[in-house]
Amino acid sequence: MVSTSETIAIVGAEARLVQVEVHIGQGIPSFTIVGLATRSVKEAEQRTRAALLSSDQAWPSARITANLAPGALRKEGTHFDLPLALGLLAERRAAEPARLEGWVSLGELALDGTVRPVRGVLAAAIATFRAGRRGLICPVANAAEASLVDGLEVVPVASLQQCLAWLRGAETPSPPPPREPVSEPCEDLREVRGHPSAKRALEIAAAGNHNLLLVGPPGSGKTMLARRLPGILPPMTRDESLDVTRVYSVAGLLSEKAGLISTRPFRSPHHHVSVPGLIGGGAGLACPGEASLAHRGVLFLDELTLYRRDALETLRAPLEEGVVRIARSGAFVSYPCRFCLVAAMNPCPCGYLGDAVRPCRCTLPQIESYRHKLSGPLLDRIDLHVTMGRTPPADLMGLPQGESSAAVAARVGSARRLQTLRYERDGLTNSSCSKAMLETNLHLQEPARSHVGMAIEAFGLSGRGLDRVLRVARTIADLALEEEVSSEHVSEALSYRRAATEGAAA
Amino acid sequence: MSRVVSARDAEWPRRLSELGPYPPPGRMFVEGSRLPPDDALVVAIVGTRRPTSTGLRAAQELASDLCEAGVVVVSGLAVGIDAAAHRAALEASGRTVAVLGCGLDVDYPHRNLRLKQRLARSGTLVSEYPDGVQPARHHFPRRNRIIAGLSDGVVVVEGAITSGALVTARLALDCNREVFAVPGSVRNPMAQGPNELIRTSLAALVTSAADILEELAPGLAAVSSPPTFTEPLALSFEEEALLRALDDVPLSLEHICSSAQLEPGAAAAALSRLELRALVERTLAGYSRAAPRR
Repeated sequence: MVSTSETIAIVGAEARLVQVEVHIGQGIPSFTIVGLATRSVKEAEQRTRAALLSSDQAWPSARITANLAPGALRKEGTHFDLPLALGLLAERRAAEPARLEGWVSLGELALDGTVRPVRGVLAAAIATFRAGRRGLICPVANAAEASLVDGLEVVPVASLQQCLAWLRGAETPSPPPPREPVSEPCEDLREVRGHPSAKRALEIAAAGNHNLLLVGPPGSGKTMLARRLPGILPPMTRDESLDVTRVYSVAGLLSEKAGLISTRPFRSPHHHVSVPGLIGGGAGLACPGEASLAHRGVLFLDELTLYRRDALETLRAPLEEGVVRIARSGAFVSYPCRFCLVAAMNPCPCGYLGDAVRPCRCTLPQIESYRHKLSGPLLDRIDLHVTMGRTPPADLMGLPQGESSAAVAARVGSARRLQTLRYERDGLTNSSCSKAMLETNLHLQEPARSHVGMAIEAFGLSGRGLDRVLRVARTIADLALEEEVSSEHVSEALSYRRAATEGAAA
Repeated sequence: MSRVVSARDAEWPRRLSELGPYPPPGRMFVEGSRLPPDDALVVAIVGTRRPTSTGLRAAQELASDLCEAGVVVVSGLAVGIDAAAHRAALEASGRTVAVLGCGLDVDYPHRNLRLKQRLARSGTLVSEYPDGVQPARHHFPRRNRIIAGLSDGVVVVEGAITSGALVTARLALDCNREVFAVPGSVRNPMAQGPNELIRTSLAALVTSAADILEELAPGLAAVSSPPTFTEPLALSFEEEALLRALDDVPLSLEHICSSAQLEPGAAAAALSRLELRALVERTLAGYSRAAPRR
């Protein structure tokens, strides 16, 4: 006889349903798990056996084979314990197989039969709901996460015994009360004095989800501005929140208390971050990287030139596609990563090139080798290049407080609504829409058209460079609530394009 | 191939033996055309390795106008002002001499390799150091005395107070040569050297090749080309305000906005229009005024 129960396997940021078949047959007593189960899954044998015995269940002295189907899909993680135990019990008629039908289960077992929390429960809940299964049996600690999916029945279990009792007809354990959405207050733009032009660029970045490079001497307030970007981005829709929460769930970063993540993430990885740390992957169970943790939010790379070049280069494709694809042995995994990149750097190694007060002490070759640490293709993918000046601290005190984040967010919100109407899809912006979509919506009239033509020639704009300028110009027009992109909008957009290096003429 | 020229040779310029308090070189290694004869008018153009575009333009114009008037242009083949002067002299098919601080076969500075090859063909390369000698910090002041020694006058285009260009100017004064300086903006750290020379009356203020020729060879001054007529620029109110706020050194958009009293968006748009007309230059360090073209 073979019993079947269902669980999931985490593939990238998604969960896929997996059948757990258990067969108890004659032969030398043993327990074998097949179906591309990695080490963490195979250890389930020891935990399941101890948990069963601790829960007053006998361990069959027979040849047990468990098969995880589809067999070609690599399985990792510790959440296979509970479905394996249930499958075993169903096979021995200790649990009613019919009662188990249509339920997806996951959970790690402690040796005493307690069910421990696992990663990726939200992804599992979404997969269960989409597949039209009856519901999800999950660790009680993950129940709040699973209940985020509207309309899905969740059975939270604290122990194997409680699960068995439910299978024998006991009442469904009451789900924990729904959690408040997690929202972290973001610092207000009002606190930043001065910097009108950098704030303008930040507003454009927010309105079109454009990537932004801030260049300026130390202490010019690059980090301060970047931190305030999530506060002027439009609030996340419920779908976006679920999307972000799912990535954090798969990464195991959703703490037990946490509910839906409702503020846009702000991630600022240290510059020693490795390639898997930045884009995801890594040994063992693949994990989303910082780029994906910043999904729908802001990825801030301070001191851009200090990052490892190989790590930065891996960002190129994700920046373009909004998704990371990582080749693993046997399969590709993908994580969503549609973030807004904000990078900051000094103009030269000493930091004071172009500073009004302190002279720069770098030689031309030093400046060049500093700049060469960044590849052209990466810089080409950054739409807004902005140079910031340093305001002397004494002058800062005299400056009035800036506009509040709420006021800026209102303008950003209207610009985003225009884009949503135009592209007829939530979340699609001027920076991420297709080239064809952009072209039909540009409404470029004379003299703006000839202005663009002149700029192509005078500035030697590449195809990609031109595309970026036009996208930014579209956003500037949206901020002004104008349908046509005018010459003025094009001019301003051109002023944010990638700057030339000094000394090119020398 | 380089040749050795010493005081016994006809090619040896007498000037090189008249270095005032400094020891004259025993012999020189020369490559390319012959050293400037004693009756030639020779002017050295020296300056910083990190010039602004205004400084570069000044060096180019001076070199090319001096060459038109038949003057030999001497410099040190460094990156920046030196290279600009050599290039402009070669473009104007004039005579130019580069004095090196290393052996003639040493590739330094590497960035000017092509220029050095051109100079070997159509100009002159000179060094006190035999082949294979690498450049060293202490070679350059010694090299500078030869730059000063070969010339009738030295023009400092841009240079910090502590720069080698100012060392050359002082050496030139000690050797009884004329010293000229091109003034610059008070906000430009690279103009501090020439401004200081003018302030202390060590150098004569010059803004064109004609000013130099008037001082060194009054008869020649009339030969230089007359100033060309430039069309007045049609500028909007904003663009004029921005041009007034700009300087030779790069400034951030924020500084420009606050001194021109303009909204950041409008200022950025106007600056990009000015950049399109090549009146403004934009680099990672900020916006600077582009030197007007002739």
